[in-house]
Amino acid sequence: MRLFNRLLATIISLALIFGSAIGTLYLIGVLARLPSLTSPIRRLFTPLLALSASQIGALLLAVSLLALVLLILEIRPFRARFVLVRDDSQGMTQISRPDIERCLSQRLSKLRAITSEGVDILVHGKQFDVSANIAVSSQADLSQVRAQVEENIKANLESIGVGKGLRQISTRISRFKRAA
Amino acid sequence: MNNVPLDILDEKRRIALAIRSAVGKVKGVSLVQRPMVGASYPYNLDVPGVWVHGPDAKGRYGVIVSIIVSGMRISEAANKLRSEIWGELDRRGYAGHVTSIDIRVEDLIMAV
Repeated sequence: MRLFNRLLATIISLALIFGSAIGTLYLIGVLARLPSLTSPIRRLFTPLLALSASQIGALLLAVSLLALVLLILEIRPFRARFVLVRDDSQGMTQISRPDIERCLSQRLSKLRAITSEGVDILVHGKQFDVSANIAVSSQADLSQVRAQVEENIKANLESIGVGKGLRQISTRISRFKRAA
Repeated sequence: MNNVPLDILDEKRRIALAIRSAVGKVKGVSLVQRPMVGASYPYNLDVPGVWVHGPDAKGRYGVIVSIIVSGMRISEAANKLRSEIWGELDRRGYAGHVTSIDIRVEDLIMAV
């Protein structure tokens, strides 16, 4: 799920939890005949009752438009699914981006003392960037690891046949303490 | 909705069948069925993995072929496949009806 939608889902969930809690309290207040519980809740919703039919209509329309925008954002491909290998009059040759990511991640995991936590490819038209997340032990030499990872990625992209479109490689390294 | 003339559907089917036959001749390449986003119908029912779209104003078609490649460089596989497809289309008399062949490698199985 995308960050925006995740944020929105959190807000909606919180609103639902808050609404349910208020509803439950109101119900308890009505059943137990406790005006001290029901009256503050009723006061909270009085402004809504004061809205005219056209205002409520406008509110509902705004909510439906927001839902439509969210639906389009969710359905439309957010990131390019393919990396371009060749494009000429004969046609395009593309390769699935997640497939390259998986392939590179597997190859990185085979390197000594490196744990691959995933490879991400960002496509910019005919070119692409690669970012690798790896974990190494606290004793490892970072510059050496970085060079090793970059070399491995370049070699593997070349072996697949997509090395030409590579723009840059960024490596994010996290350290872990190896258990004795 | 406009009715699609039957000869167009038939021509698309014949082109797709020619492509399937060409893919079968290339070792290490196989078709894979993938739904096409935005297509009026998801894939060719006769040949899953081949989508023949069009025709354009000149009555020519575009082709998208979704494949799995194993143990080969992509460019090498794509070149072999393209030449085989054009050869097959030429043999069956459809080469002039197709504008381009887009190849989408959906899965790459490399020798470990």
